[in-house]
Amino acid sequence: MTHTQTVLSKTQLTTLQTDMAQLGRQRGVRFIVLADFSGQDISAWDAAGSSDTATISALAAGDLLATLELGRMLGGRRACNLVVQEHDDQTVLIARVGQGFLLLLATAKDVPLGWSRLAIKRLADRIELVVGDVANTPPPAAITEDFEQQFQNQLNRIW
Amino acid sequence: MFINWGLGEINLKIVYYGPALSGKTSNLQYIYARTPPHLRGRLVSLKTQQERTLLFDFLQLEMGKINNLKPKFKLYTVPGQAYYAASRRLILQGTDGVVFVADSQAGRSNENLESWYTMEQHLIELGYDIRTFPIIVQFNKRDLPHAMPTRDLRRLLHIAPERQCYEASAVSGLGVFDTLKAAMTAVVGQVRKSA
Repeated sequence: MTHTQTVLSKTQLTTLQTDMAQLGRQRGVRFIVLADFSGQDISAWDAAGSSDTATISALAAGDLLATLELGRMLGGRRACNLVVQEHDDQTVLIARVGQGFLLLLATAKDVPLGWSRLAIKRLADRIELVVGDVANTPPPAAITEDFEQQFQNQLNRIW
Repeated sequence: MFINWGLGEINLKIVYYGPALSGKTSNLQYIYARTPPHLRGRLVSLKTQQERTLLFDFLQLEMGKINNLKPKFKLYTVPGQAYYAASRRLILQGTDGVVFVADSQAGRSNENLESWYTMEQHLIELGYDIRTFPIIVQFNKRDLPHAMPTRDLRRLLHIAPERQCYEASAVSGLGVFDTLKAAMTAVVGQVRKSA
């Protein structure tokens, strides 16, 4: 296993956002987020527009990874594909996308679970086609010597 | 690391690792309290009823744009207790740097040593080259009696001379931001080197 670095192009991100917005327009869909297993949020659709995407992604990654580990410790493989959470007022599904990503879908309680399962599966499949090749992509030269210097100056101004 | 070219963001992950009660959560609490609200998210702590970290603490910090790229740092702590080894490994996944928080008290040598070795083991299993991977060491609880001399702590953990170490007292804030800034700088430097 190598240290993976996720780099998505604007085109890939636009495609992801379009696909997620399409599902988001369905009745009862409240929130969708795509994140990687390290907890980095990649793209989100939010009906309320006020959800803390970064924190939700970190928690979802922790949840799915803990579930994967649970399966392994119970003698299976680390291969859980879907976590379903039935809350009092909503349903939350977390699906594995490929080997390094997760998709979280939150719906209203009255949305049939069967529909949600199918919807998240289909979206995960579409997303996998878009992000499938990004694992192990070497980072582009986004950070230069000048960036480092400016970053250092900024740190010293903040703290 | 995740670069979002659409939004012009570079997302980086730093994990605070160390033995139980060494002060990892205290570091994040101090950072949260002393960082301007517009630069930080909420501090999320998943705790047991005994106020011990169960899965992780999480805090996002956001810098201003540099060359059209906004750095965002996600800070995590791991649960320190020995029986949460699986959780610690999970949280280290995808990290760009580690702050190892050692407890300076003389009676905690074994815990420091065990935690250091499990950290190295996890990082190696996850595919990192620990000779070059950014690991910043913080000798915490310097304010307490019976704190070991830092040279003895370095010797105990076999810390290479070139590795950066900081003395700290996370409760009072001494050394907390020196450690954080060193970790952030090391992570950014590492990303540049690997490009």
